[in-house]
Amino acid sequence: MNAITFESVSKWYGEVVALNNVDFTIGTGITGLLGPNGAGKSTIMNLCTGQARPSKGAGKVLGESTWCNYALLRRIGLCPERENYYDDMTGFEFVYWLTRCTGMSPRAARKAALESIERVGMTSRMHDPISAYSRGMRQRVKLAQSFAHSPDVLFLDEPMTGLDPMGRSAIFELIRELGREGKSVIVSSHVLYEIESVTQTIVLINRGRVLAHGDVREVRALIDAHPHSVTVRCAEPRKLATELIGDPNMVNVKFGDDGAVTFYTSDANAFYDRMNVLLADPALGVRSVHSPDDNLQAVFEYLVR
Amino acid sequence: MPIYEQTYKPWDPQYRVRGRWLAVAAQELRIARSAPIYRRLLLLALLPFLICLFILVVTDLMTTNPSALFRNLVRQVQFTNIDARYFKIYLSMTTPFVYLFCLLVGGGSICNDYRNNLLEVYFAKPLTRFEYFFGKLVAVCYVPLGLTVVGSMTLFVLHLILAPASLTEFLSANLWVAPMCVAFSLLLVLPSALLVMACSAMSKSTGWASVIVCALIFMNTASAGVLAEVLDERNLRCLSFVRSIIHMADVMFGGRTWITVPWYYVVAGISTLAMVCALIVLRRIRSVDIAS
Repeated sequence: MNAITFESVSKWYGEVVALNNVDFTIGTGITGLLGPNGAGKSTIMNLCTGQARPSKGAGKVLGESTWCNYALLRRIGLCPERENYYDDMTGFEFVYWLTRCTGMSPRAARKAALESIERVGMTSRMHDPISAYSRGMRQRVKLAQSFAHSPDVLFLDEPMTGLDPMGRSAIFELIRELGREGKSVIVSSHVLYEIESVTQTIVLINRGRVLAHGDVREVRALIDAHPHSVTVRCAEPRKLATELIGDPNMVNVKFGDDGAVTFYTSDANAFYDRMNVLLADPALGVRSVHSPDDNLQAVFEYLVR
Repeated sequence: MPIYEQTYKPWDPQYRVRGRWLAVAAQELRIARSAPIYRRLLLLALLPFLICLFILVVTDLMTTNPSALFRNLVRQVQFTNIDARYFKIYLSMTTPFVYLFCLLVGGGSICNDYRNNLLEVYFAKPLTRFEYFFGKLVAVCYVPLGLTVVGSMTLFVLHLILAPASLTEFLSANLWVAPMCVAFSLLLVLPSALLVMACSAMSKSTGWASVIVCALIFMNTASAGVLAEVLDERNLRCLSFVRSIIHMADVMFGGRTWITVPWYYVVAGISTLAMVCALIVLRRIRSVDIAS
């Protein structure tokens, strides 16, 4: 069963169309919800967490509609983008009280809050007031409340905001860990490398429409308008170009400095098959093979811009 | 890659369907308690109870005193009679504290959650909007009902304990006072709390909510008074919320009243106000969809 299913979902606020006839499915593991600011990421999060009702279509999480479905909300966690605290509250209190709201008994909520705070590395500061926290600490506490009640589906809206490099690395690892536990983790971000650090599965949104969803490389392979570029550094770039130029899928070849040659091909798989054979030839002296546009950034740029 | 299966979820006994409003109420009370004025006001609010307790103890001790002099002295001083009027005086003395506590706890109950974007997190949990509303209402009513219901019932029971000789006489004449104390307390506290919550839901800060409540009560009382004077109809004073409460106290505890509006009309008016306020709060909570 898919964790999230959107069937022809539209959502508008007055005259503003936030989502326009959106269809996609998300399975288990980590999925990146990607798009520029105002693309509709937070609206999808709101619809999935029962904060909003679709204006048209049906959005389902774990096979059920989330609107007023309180039994289902127990299985969902949300880490919102905006700050959500009382400044005089301590980090522990914040997580504890919100965990109580899921229906846990005081004892169970205390245990769950302590565990989740420990997982985000805030145990030593959990009894300090939130007003004394840095932005990154606040973000961690907010993250802790989202999974304290052990949800099956976790929505993280821009979870890396304000985190320092160390904090980012720890949270990346935590997200990966949650994904490995079998939870569906949906991470929204407009920062591409953040998403790329945790997953290769994306849903790309722009102006309320889904532009692409699936594995980044699969999505990239479908973009025919932009040939794949592969840069090879070797001792004999011209010889290598001669070997490959006959390929019917080859669109263009460019020579660069330091023995670099960039091939533009419309069929990356066929190109790599041929490259594998040539790599074995010691006369060519291949030092590196690198595809600058086989990443999220390139996919994003091709589809959004 | 492991195969994940999410179709089956075992029953988990640690999750309770009921009582989630308790978390909201407890959290709201915790915030209120952290305000420095809260404890001072609570101590001050105990004064009416302590005064009435003192009167009750002294009266009961003197009444049970074998000396006829003391018994006659108590009968001479009307204020010391423990009857419906005594409980009405107690409730009248606590009324300003009821308003103050409603303002203190309720003023920021909804608007602070709005300002801190907490509704988004609350409603992503399995917490219904009604549970949230009820939790907030319980938190706002907690101290005011404690002062009125618990205070008056304690005095009632204490009188029964301290003056066992007049027990039968007192109960036959004043048994109805106990339910009246509870009814009057609810009539006073619930609409006041809901009014403050509605103002909190419509304003941006605790301060603004308090200003709006005070302005509404002042304008309501003033306009009802002006209308009654201009049209020369004193019953129109019952259009004022405060005046209606005073009138209901007179009616319920058998006091003299110069307004002739039947009590059920007044109760209907107060109930309508309470319901409108509750609808405003619930409507405002629901609009979180649009706000986000």
